[in-house]
Amino acid sequence: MADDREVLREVWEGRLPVAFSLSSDEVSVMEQPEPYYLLVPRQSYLTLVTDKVQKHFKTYTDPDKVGEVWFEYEGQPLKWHIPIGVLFDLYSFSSTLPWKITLHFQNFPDEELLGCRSKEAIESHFMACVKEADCLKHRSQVINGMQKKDHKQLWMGLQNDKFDQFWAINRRLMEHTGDEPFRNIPFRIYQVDKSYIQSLFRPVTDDGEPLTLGDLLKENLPDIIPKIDACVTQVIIQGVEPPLDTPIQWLSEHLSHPDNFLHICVLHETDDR
Amino acid sequence: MATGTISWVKFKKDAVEFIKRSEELRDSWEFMVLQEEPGKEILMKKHVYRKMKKNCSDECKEETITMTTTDGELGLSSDSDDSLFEECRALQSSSLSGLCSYEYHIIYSDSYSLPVLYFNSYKEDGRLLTLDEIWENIPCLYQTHVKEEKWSFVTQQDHPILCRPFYQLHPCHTADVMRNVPLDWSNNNYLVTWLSSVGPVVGLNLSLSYATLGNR
Repeated sequence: MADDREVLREVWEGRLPVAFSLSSDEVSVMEQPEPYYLLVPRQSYLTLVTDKVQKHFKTYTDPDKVGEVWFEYEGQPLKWHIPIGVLFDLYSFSSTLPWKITLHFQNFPDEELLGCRSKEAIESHFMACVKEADCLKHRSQVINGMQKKDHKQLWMGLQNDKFDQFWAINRRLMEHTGDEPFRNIPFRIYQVDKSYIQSLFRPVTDDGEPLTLGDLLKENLPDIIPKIDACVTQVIIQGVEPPLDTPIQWLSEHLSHPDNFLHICVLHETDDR
Repeated sequence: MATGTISWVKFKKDAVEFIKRSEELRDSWEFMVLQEEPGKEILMKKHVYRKMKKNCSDECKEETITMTTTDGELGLSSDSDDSLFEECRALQSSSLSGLCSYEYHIIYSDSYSLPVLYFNSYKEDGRLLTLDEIWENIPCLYQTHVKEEKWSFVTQQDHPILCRPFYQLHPCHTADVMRNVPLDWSNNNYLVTWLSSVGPVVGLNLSLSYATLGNR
């Protein structure tokens, strides 16, 4: 069970100031509307927390051309199904705040972004991640042992930004019995302009020695450690750079996103962002 | 291995047999290998053309036209095989309006230790079918299930290798279904049994000639 409750709360309360603007091509009134400023939870999803933003900008665009909404940062369409904090860490980690995001109502790039016409699409994606994570951690035994209302409570906790509501259920998904760690660590590694990396990784050696973040990175990106040492590559989780000798089991329990995956951003100096 | 699941080694073995039979049947399944590791290769069938369902009473008239080209074009290869000729006639006789092209990918998920079916479907104008259209096109037989559980049945996901949107048949229930199949997987082809059970939901009907695989 995750026991550093202060860390969990700190992570949950991570917020990002965002300045949303409507794409200038889509403005149908005389002057460009002012940006809409909003403090958004790092743990949430763009399409889940922007109802007011969308409603605001709809009055400045041609209602006949309003299609599915999507977001973009400096030409990069943002995948709504990746948590907001991960998108920021990946594309804008060293940029100045507030984070400037452009909003579009036209030309939805359906070859790049998943459709999101309702909140159910977000809920379904979120639950699919939670289920996959539990399959990796506990062979699905915890998630399958829960009732539908527990699943609903997890989702409502995230949707309504209620830490206690969410963690009352999530702590069961983060449980491990005695010294027995997770079977595998649910993680994804993101790099700009590359497919994400996901593989099976056990948190301990055959002798029961705990493995670290450095071990996980080495296994998945063999030449990464010298680059980190030379400061040309940064590894960011939840907006911070954890020491490479942090046990991966601890990171999984405390720094995972609500979808139960540990989202790891690997930034290279050569990334042009 | 938990019951109902398969190892990657078994998946590979069955996939090789499956491709071999597909070649004999000219059924256009092929491998696309990105890296020799679990989840990095795709067993894919390029294209099936399917008429859009208008409503449930039309379903008996629905025809599936399987093309054996691999380049994704409607044009047929130079083969003058009889069955191909028939397909060609079928294509000509049925109005092309409402035809959709389906592309199916089977990917091994090492999270679930299961094969997972991904697909995309395009209209003639190149537009991707929406999730609502995908659900509408699921055969009537499964429509009750769609109504009750559509969001945990077929949804859109990022393709785990290509990283762009694909529809996915959720793997959650696969192990439950396969656990109840009274076959010994050491002598039988898991992929054939699995695909013939789940494929029809999304218009993928497997020829009966696959049934003898692993059984010979």
